[in-house]
Amino acid sequence: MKFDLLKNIENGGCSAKLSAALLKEALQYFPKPDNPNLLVNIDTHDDAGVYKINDEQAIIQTTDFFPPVCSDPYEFGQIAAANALSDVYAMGGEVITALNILMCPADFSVECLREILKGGNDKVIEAGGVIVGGHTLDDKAPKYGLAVTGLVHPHQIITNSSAKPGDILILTKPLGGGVIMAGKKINEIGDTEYRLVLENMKQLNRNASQIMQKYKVKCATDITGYGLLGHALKMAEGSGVSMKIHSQNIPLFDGAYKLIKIGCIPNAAFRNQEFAQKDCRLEKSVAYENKMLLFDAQTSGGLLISAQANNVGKITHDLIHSGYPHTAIIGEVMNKKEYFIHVD
Amino acid sequence: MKIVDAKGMQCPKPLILTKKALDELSENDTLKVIVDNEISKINICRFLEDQGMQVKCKSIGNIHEILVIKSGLVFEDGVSEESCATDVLKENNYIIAFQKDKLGEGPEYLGKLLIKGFINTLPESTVLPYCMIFINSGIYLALKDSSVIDSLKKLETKGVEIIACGTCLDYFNKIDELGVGKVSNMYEIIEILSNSAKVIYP
Repeated sequence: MKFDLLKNIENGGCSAKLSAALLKEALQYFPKPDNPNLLVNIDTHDDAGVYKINDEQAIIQTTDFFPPVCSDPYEFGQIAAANALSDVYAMGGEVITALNILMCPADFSVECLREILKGGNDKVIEAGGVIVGGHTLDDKAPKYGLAVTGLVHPHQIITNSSAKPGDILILTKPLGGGVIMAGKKINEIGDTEYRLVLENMKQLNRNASQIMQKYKVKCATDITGYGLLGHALKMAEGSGVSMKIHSQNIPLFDGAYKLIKIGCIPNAAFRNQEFAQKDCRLEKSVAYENKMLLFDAQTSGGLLISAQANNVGKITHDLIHSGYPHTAIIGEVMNKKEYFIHVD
Repeated sequence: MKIVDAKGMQCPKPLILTKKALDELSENDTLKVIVDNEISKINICRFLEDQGMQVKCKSIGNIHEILVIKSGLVFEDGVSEESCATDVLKENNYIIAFQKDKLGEGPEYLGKLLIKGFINTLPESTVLPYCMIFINSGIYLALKDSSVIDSLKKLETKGVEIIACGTCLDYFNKIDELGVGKVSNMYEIIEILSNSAKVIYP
């Protein structure tokens, strides 16, 4: 009998993320760490922490785990791992080691467990890293992910707080993955469309990260649970700039727009809207469907890259030919204006 | 008015049904959506308000009724009763159905003493029921000369709906002696019981 991982899962993948507003409040009065070697801390809500070991090396540390996004355990393992590894790539690093984090019920099938771990292991190997151990817990709803350590040269760290006015914004993967996942649960989406999203979620952001290093990009983030506008907002806030996003240029998964049109909008998109919309100015011309897709939570989404204008042609060309055919120029960075994000 | 009953459904299904009904609705017609979870309620309200429509929301326990007029015209009284987005989840999501005039089995004297204590303590309880139903000999508790009538009145002023079974009042010939709440029929009682997350039978 094939075990369906999605049974009893309400919020899979990055939609299971706690709301950003709640987290912000909880961390409000935390003392700021005062360590000169801590190059990137939680201040700017970046993708990972970065700690300098010596003048040549800094380690990137990050963790991510979540409930199943799909029925197949091997694919779930791959997606959860690709998603966790992504934070290292968003910081411009390479993966060195990873630890498994796994929760599942005590009566979970051995095959299932093995498949999840195999999926994770295969992705870490593909990333050029190695799994050195992990921790498991008995828990009703399965959850899987990794704690990852990466390496980066201290001068080559890519943060989410270094966007400069005049930069161009590039997005490497389509949006709408969360909508398609919700549509799958209620049988409103075709298999072809669904498979395409799964394959995209499994895809590492490694090539994209290497392309960023090749062109000396300084600012990027990966698009996950807070949706494009949520992550763009953190980037604009952290960088002290405003951003213009052209909703018509956003690459979308096939079928996502149609699903939103019938009202298939996942809760996570509403949650992201709640926290991010007040800092966004949306032109009247932006259709409701497009707006909600900009708030759609992605699991193992693409990179949002803020690149110097003179390199944009080369960067997008390289991305399109390195496994990210949907790469698109979606906006630009401006001096700080009334709103952090302007959408037209 | 068109009604969408989306009880028992999880997000995004209730929203899909709402959207569909709204599309089919003629201009200025009213749509009523019934859901039984907070997330669906909030999301539907956000969706409708985002379309520029004015939304009215009524929550009884975990049952939420959302009223909206197509085209976003303002309701006649001009003010929405409560803003959906800021509405807090009501904790009093249970009802109590009294089927007799005593508590538990055993000596009658003890049972009556206990039910008196039960009802007299209730107004001080942190989480009140949203409705109390009196059936069969339970109706004696809600009569004018009942020993707990003051507590029931107090509960009523605190917003607890009190309902007595009309057939039962008739049977005991006490229809004129009801001291609190309103007389109701089996249809309404079934509706209330079946819509509640929790029913306590003392």
